[in-house]
Amino acid sequence: MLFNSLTFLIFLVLVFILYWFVANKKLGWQNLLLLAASYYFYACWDWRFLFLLIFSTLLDYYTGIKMAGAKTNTAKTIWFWISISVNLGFLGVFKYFNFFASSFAEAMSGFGLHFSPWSLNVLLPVGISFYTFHGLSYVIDIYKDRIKPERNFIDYSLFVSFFPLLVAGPIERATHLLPQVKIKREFNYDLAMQGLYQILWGLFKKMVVADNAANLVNLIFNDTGFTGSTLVIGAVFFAFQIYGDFSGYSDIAIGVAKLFGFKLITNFSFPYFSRDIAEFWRRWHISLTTWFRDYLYIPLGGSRGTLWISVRNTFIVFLVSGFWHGANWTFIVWGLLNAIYFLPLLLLNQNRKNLIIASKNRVLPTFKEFIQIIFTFSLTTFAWIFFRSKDLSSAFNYINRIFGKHLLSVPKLKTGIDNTNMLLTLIFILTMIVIEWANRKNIFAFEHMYKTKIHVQMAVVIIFTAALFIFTGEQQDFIYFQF
Amino acid sequence: MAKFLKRVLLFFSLISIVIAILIFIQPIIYRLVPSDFDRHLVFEKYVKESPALNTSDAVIFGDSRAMFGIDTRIIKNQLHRQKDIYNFASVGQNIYESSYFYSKVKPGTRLVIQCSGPSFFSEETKHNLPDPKAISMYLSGYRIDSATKKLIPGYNRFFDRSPVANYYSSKSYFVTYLHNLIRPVFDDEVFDEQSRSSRFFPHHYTKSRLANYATLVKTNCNGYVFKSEPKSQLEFVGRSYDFFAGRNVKYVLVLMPVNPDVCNMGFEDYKKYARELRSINGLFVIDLSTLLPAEYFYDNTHANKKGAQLISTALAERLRGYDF
Repeated sequence: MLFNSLTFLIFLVLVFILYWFVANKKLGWQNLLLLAASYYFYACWDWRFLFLLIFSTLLDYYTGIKMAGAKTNTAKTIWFWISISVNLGFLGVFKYFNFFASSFAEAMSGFGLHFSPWSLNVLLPVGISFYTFHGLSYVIDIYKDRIKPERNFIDYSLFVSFFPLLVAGPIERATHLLPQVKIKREFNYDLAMQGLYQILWGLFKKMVVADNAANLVNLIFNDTGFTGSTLVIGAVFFAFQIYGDFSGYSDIAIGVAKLFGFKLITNFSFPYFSRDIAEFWRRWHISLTTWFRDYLYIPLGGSRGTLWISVRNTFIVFLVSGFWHGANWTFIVWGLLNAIYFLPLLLLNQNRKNLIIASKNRVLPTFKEFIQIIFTFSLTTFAWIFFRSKDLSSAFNYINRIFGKHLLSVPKLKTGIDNTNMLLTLIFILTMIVIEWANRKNIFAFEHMYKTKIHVQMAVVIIFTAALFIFTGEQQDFIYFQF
Repeated sequence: MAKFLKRVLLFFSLISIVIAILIFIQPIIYRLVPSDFDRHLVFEKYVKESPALNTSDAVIFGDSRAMFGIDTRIIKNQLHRQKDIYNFASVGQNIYESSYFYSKVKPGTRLVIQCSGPSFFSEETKHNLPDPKAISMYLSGYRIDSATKKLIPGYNRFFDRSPVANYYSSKSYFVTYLHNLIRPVFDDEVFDEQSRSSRFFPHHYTKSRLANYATLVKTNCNGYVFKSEPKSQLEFVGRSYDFFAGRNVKYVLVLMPVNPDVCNMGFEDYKKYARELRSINGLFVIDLSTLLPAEYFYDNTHANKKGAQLISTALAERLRGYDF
């Protein structure tokens, strides 16, 4: 049940009506309804994995209570590691087993030992990386005595499985979402209207920008006959595809949650307006970045201690972050590249220089800011080539061909239709950039739209609905569903 | 909540109105903006004309090979016909697509010339009309009749749906319109758009050879390799022959010239299916597949203007002794 499908719209309307008109009397009913809806939503993907989700939820719920009630630190630690091991075990088996098996076989072949690795022929349960991280943060927070365990199983399950964030985040924290689950939600007009506009903006980014870019990106990445300039355009389009796709998804998820009275954490904050790579990572997939910061980087020692410790921890976080995305060397190299980008800032102690959005009090960026933004975007786009390629040799081949021939020629695809598609997609991307730049001080582009005059709102709704109706590209799955 | 619902209702109404407008202006825009499929309009115009005013006694159907490759005025002149011959070929119009137009051929027509390229016979495919084609036909005014339904039992059910559903499906045409407006900026050649609406010679190339001809003939080999016997196609050609025989109209199949420069050309297989087509009882097959040297091709598929003259002359020659 994709967010950009009619089925989801019907589902959403039904749950909304039941939530605010039938289950609104009691908190318990509200939560029970949302949990049932969330499980139904998840079962629509693959009902068999619902059991895995429920098991994972039960495990963390139970170990959380056991840890809090443990009489000794040893008992607490044992319960903690049981939860961590089982959670990471599931993730390892479903997501990484085949990768490790084939990598091991390849390594052994280097020593002259040839064998066919045993592989698991199972689908990756959708959202497993996201709900496992929900559970992990909860268990770690209890272990570290930051929070008390949740005793109400329905409430805890809703925290893990709330349908807007179940399959691709944002990765919520118990400290942020559980308190909202525990309070009966009252309808809030401002929040709901904001939610609607966030959904509209998310749909535009996903269906118009990302899906149209995806067609061209697939075309360019799957063909070896293009000039260097066209390959650059392919990489740039992928940068906007993945941004439109994932930030669009996040906007829809956060917008939907607002319709039910929840405020989820911001996941993207105009990352392509960043002036350095450190700022980029404070603005891109924020829920994951902060998760790694709080549960990996800081426990490893963070930036305390020697410079060498900081560098080591930075590399570990970026490599693990790359590996989190998928069992493929391309993601690991992508993580490594970002760590390398980050390194000079860390060594020069410049990694917390740009904490507020670029040109906050100006219409346009200064020339220096503009160059910084373009440079950061170029670095990011270069790394995306690894992220998008199916394997390392394809990525290196793609880069090699960029510098091979006609890097400065006019980018051109093979047919007139593809060329016009390229131009149209460029217009969509520019539209998105202009709107986001103009609204970069907000949390999302249409944050305050509901406060503007009604005729302005009507015009926006008409224009963007018409754009969705006319320019929707061929429907593509959300990229982050595979993670 | 009431304020929110009122606002949602307002937006929902607005969105519904906008979408309704966008849906129902489709046929109007379709007529205004050129598209690859606007040849359907030419045929629909012919269909809507009074049968009494029918000035043709032969019509041609086929894909772009026929569209760019046959000048019916040459055939008319060479055969000294009193009435015109119309060329209703269009881009990608294979025999399956042409068959949707068969029942609309007007009384008084004596000959239907169905042209085809080799790809149609390269492997067995069931009767199939892609949705974009059906949409284009629908927008141009085409409506399916019972005779066509009888001829094509597996016809595209698009034509049975409500106008609202069909116009909604045609929303992708908005992008097509934009493509056609923007495309001249990117294309290496300017096309003669006027000729596209011609009933006689809808050839719109202004040059005799495409700039990247050499690349095209090396890389566009799909459809020229024969993979399996085209049983369904042969059977359908036989049905079409019978369909016109029942209406006292002659039905001729023309195998259009293929470019000898194109890689992987399976001429022998092509000839084999031409022989099989001839075995359909009474079907007159005109095999022009090896007629043109490569120099008469604009690109890997289509004849240039000189090539079209040769094809038209050769076709007239083969029809000279044919009684229609």
